[in-house]
Amino acid sequence: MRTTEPRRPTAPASSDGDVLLDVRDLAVRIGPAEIVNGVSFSVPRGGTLGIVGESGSGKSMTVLAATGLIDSPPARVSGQSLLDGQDIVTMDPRQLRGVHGRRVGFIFQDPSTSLNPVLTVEQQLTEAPRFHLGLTRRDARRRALELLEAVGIPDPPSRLSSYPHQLSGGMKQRVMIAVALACDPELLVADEPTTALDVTTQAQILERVKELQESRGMSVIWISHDLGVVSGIADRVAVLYGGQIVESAPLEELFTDPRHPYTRGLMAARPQTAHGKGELAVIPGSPPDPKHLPQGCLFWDRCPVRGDPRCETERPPETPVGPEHVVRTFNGGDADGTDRRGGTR
Amino acid sequence: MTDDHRPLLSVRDLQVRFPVTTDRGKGAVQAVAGIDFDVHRGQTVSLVGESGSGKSTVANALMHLVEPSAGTVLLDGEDITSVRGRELKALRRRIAMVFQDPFASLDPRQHVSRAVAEPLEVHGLGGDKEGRRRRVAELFELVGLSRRFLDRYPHELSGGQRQRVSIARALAGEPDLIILDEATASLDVSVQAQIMNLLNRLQGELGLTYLFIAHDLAVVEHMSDHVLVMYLGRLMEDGDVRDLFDAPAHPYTKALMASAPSADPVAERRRRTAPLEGEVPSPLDPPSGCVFRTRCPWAADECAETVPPPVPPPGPGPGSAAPARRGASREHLAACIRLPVVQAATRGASPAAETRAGPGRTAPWAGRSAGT
Ligand SMILES: Nc1ncnc2c1ncn2[C@@H]1O[C@H](COP(=O)(O)OP(=O)(O)OP(=O)(O)O)[C@@H](O)[C@H]1O
Ligand SMILES: Nc1ncnc2c1ncn2[C@@H]1O[C@H](COP(=O)(O)OP(=O)(O)O)[C@@H](O)[C@H]1O
Ligand code: SF4
Ligand code: SF4
Ligand SMILES: [Mg+2]
Ligand SMILES: [Mg+2]
Repeated sequence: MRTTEPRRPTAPASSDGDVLLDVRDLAVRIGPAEIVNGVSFSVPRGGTLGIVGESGSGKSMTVLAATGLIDSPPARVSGQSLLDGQDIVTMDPRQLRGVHGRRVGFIFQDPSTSLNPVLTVEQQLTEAPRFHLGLTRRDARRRALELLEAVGIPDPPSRLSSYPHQLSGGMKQRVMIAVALACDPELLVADEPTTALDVTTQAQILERVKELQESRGMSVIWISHDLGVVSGIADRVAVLYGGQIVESAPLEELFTDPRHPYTRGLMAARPQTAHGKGELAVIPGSPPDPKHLPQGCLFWDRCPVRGDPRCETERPPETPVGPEHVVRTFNGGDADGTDRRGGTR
Repeated sequence: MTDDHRPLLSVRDLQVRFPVTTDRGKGAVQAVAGIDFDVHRGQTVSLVGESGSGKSTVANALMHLVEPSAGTVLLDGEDITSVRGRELKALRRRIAMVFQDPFASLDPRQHVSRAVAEPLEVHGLGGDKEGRRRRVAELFELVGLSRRFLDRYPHELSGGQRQRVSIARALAGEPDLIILDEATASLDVSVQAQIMNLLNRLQGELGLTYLFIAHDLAVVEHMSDHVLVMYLGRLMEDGDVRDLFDAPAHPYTKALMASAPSADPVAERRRRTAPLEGEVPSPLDPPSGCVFRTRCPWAADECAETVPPPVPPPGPGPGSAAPARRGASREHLAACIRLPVVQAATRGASPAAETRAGPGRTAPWAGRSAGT
């Protein structure tokens, strides 16, 4: 299936000026690999979209393509990603420089990929504002101190001259957020930035981002393999599988009324309170190989409720099941009588 | 009878110091500052705490990957505190370890079956070459890996499959104790669930004993019989899993639990501030008194002066005629001098809690503690 499906309401009210990023039918191919397969979503101004899925489901590639961070070639990106109406997919490198670090800030799982080991904290924090905003050295330094304060670094002046290796994992992550925020971006993209951190540091960082978001009206895309982490920050959640959004809904609706068997499986796999050592529900198998996608539903080989004859031969279309809730399955109700939250055992 | 009650592993006053040189001269990091615990056969005891709290150092000291600077470790009654040479080799068969990153612990140039065969060879197990080959295939089956993975390289396996190989390798020497250091931490939620199920199934089938190290509380709750909460090299709280999770006593444990993502959007919305600010202080220069006081919401002046009495070793209490506490059941204990105040404020005033916790001594937590 190519990317010709009509666009459905993956997010509410995407026609007015409240939408900052509007992604339509985004697809990414690298050689024979079909990595992202027709993804549409929008991020409202000041809102947070959570993207959830297993490793290899295409989360990183989706946001990298949507924000113009994929090298093409070798990748072939199609579809649109409209930032305030301007399509990032077709921008040239010069236009992209005006977007990256300026209008869109990034934080990644591994701070070493975004922090330069041979530059001090001050150098990393002042470079972009001096370049993009034309700040003087002194103003940039003052701003750097404010940013370190805002992300919760104790005693910021003493940290300006530190190099990344002199900071703990949690501090590096905070500095990386400060760098991402240095030019006051309209959109912050966070790709599993807390996965390797302690729960305490993770909770602190989620809290800081929420505060900064409220005070600056920033939009956020937060990626995680853990629905629990996303529930702390997102307004809306898109569940990704095989490079497709298989379900998308407002946060609470997704938790109270998950419709896709994959979403239910992800929820059931999380160890629950007071569970004892009982067997956890698991989703057997692993996500499909993007070089050999099945003809029918991408989840078919792992699906506990497959049964519709179309499951094996057709890709299920995105189907609305509520005003802001869409699901991509031929079995979106409870007709099978299975437990809403149960995977297979 | 006595043997039934003898713990498989008994750790008393374990200390590990690392010498370090700083701008201010030579010093020492007290990575583990004297902890006591037992692990009974067939049980899972978990160590939980933030990064740098000393969990891995405890594991490394048990394996003699670092040398304890004080304390005693008994494995099945035998003192293994200072084993050397051939005894050390035997010890490393009796205690096996599984690490967080299976990629780092498998040789990228060797078929994964070699990783499992190696401990058999080193310890002369499995008979001849053919016998070992059969045993490796059995171990693969045991951990749910099909035989076609035998001749694969680590990079050809997924993270979950690699972790299964590491578990097969750990099982190869038929160890008495398996230490799992963040063994599920780098895995996706769904793969993590598969590995947790595997570990619990193997424990049921083979009667395995685990020391389980993790920072994810939901995982710890699911895996454990008994839980030890560590902070800056010390035990903050010690209790059976149900007691500890149903009624966390120590302010640090409460804060850890409040930080854990709940997967309940309504609860998450209600949480407006991070429950614990700041970071773990430098172990080179730990706070006076209670080491948690710099981040504790309940800290008072006395906390800077008085070191809370450490969680005492399992066994008959001083002056008590009671027999040793056995099985995993023991009292629920917390090293905090203001426990009565904390409890009264967080669960409604409870006179019982006040009387049980005399001032200045470790309070046996007045929750549903098992044992005597
Ligand atoms: N070889 C060493 N030399 C000096 N200090 C060390 C050494 N190994 C560990 N430490 C210190 O000892 C303390 C405990 O470290 P340890 O690795 O045991 O923590 P941990 O609880 O396992 O943390 P994590 O959750 O990050 O794995 C830390 O302060 C650490 O920096
Ligand atoms: N540069 C690349 N070339 C080919 N395939 C890739 C490349 N990067 C990622 N992939 C594949 O694309 C799929 C999605 O990857 P990714 O977006 O990184 O997933 P996630 O972030 O959800 O873990 C995976 O199957 C991955 O192996
Ligand atoms: S379309 Fe069929 S196979 Fe796919 S998720 Fe729905 S029921 Fe399962
Ligand atoms: S002793 Fe004081 S500082 Fe330490 S945990 Fe108890 S109340 Fe907090
Ligand atoms: Mg990724
Ligand atoms: Mg460790």
